[in-house]
Amino acid sequence: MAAAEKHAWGSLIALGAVYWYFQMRMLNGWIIVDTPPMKLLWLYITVVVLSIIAESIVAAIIANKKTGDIEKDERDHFIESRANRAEHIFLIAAINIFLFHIIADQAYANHIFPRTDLTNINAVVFILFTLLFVGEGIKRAFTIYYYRFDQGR
Amino acid sequence: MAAKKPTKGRVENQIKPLRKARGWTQIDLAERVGATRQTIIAIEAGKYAPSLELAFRIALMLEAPFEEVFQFEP
Repeated sequence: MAAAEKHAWGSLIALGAVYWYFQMRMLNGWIIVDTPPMKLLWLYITVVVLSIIAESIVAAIIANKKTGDIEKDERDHFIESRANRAEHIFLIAAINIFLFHIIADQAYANHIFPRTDLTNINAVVFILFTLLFVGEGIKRAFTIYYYRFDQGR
Repeated sequence: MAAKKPTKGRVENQIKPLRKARGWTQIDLAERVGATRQTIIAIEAGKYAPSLELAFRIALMLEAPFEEVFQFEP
């Protein structure tokens, strides 16, 4: 297994664990709980710091002991760029759907879809953070998929 | 009239027999051309088509004409 693929696996698991920590503090069942702004700020800082630490630990474990870097060649960079493109497409689509939803939410009073309360900062933070985590997750998942099934011949 | 769009071709290679003839492992070749062992495995298995530069490096290291190492099937 290529070092970059091992990194993708490790990173996917680490990000999943950090997201689990995040959602445990934001959700009660499927309901977003009201968190005071100061607590929310500290949760944001904690999640960012935890993500950096988790990512650093994974990278340190997988890195070449002599050079200190994760070994990558042209094929690894090629696969990485394809995975980045998948993440980019997801984020553009997700943000557009989010935008359309909040505009349509105001335009149509009696629609059947879930409503987004933009005055509730907890909901906005949860949605945006979830999009970031899912985007990263998609990038790692596509990296693994490309290594396993489609290496760009 | 518009030209017919070419279908995706297939790059075949003779790296494995040429490498074995020199008594090199995949790691030996990878280190010589500046790639990882996994990339050499993928190229030999036909799962990855290398860049032109890497393909030339491989042919150069194996001291074989380019067209002997790589073949293109349209």
